[in-house]
Amino acid sequence: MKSIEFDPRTKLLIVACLSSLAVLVTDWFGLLRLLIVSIGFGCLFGVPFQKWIKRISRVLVFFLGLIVIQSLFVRDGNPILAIQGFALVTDTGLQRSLGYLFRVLIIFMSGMILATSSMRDLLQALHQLKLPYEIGLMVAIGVKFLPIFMQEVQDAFLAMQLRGIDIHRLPVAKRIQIFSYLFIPLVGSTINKAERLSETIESRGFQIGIKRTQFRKLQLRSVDWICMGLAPLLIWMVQG
Amino acid sequence: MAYFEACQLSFGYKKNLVLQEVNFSLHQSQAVALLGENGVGKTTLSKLMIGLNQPRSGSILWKGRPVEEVPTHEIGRSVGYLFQNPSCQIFCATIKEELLFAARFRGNQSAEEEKKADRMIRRFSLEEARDVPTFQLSQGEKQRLALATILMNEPEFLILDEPTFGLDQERKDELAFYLKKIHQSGIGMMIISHDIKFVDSLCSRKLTVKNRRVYEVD
Repeated sequence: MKSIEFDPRTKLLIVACLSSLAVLVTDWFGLLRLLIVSIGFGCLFGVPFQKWIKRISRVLVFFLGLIVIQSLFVRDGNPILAIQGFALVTDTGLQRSLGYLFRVLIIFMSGMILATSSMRDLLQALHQLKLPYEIGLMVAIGVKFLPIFMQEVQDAFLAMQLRGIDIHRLPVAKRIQIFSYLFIPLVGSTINKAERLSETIESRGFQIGIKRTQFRKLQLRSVDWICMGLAPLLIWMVQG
Repeated sequence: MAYFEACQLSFGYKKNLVLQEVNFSLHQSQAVALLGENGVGKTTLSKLMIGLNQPRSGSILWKGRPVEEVPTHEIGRSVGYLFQNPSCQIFCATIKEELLFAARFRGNQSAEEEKKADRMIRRFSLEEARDVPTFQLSQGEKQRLALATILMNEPEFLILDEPTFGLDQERKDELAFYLKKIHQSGIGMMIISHDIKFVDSLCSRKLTVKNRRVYEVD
């Protein structure tokens, strides 16, 4: 089934509401409701759920570890699990941990909602929302360079191992120290890239953009207005 | 026994098959050129040779052992790999520190290693750049420094990915001179390059990657 095409500005508004509420709402039940609502919006905007699950599963162990630690350290509330009179898990600790997990899932879903629009469309949306073009472009460039940056981290890490260093067998202090050495190639290449990129942008008349007309302008349609109208309802639902 | 041996090696990214049933063998003392157009899989093949990529089928043997079973650091002690962009393999702020980087983390930093580093600085004409921060070095100097750091490990074989990238003719001749001397000292090498003139002066054997396969060039 083909999903309806929404204007990126609609998605930006909904994501702003979802992520702000994820920070403002503190009780776990409210966050659960917000998670359900965000999944609903994900369906509406055509988020590929397989990808969402795949992305979460990569970091789930890390977050689950944090949740376990958090629930162990919160001492308020009634004990749920106790060993010889010592409360290991309390109901408050468990609720806070669940809230934390739901918050992470909402943030992930917000990111996935934004990813359903192309970078070009998002940039256009920010421009039409009167955000300075320079800021929008910087954000777009930053996002575009992330995979390249990750590849460089990987290459530098492999280059270290190719020097015959068994990183996994180094003592912890030396392992931390060796990771700090990754900064020199990364910072160096980032500065070089930024320099080349700024030269390229300048040579292509970056500031002329202000006077340029645009062939493609984003238009808000009735589905967008209806969807945006759901935002106050969303706040009422979660807060209420 | 061949130093590297590829047997029916295939590799691809998702549905895109890059290398198909590739067979070749390299001996330790050989200087071999790997030629081919952009994007045919030369770098991919070189990464397969040191176990950084996993083959889809077939295998690549290093000294008779499948490379995927050998830890990267173990291969790194015998095989020197020069990346296309040498900046990604320079980690320290000064040349001397960079040359002693591996020794320091392998716990064998000694007066002997320091002397070896000084010899490398002289051998690769890096004396003048000694106090220059490494990120400010020219492309040619970075290339020479990366090569010198690789040689600090006393490797048996070098894999050089586009070593002439970004170098002018004078620097290319200089690099060819250094590589010839390295080869004369008994170190084998595989040079990935488009520059036929450059590899002609160094390599006695040439391979080319074409239509996902590796062919011998006469």
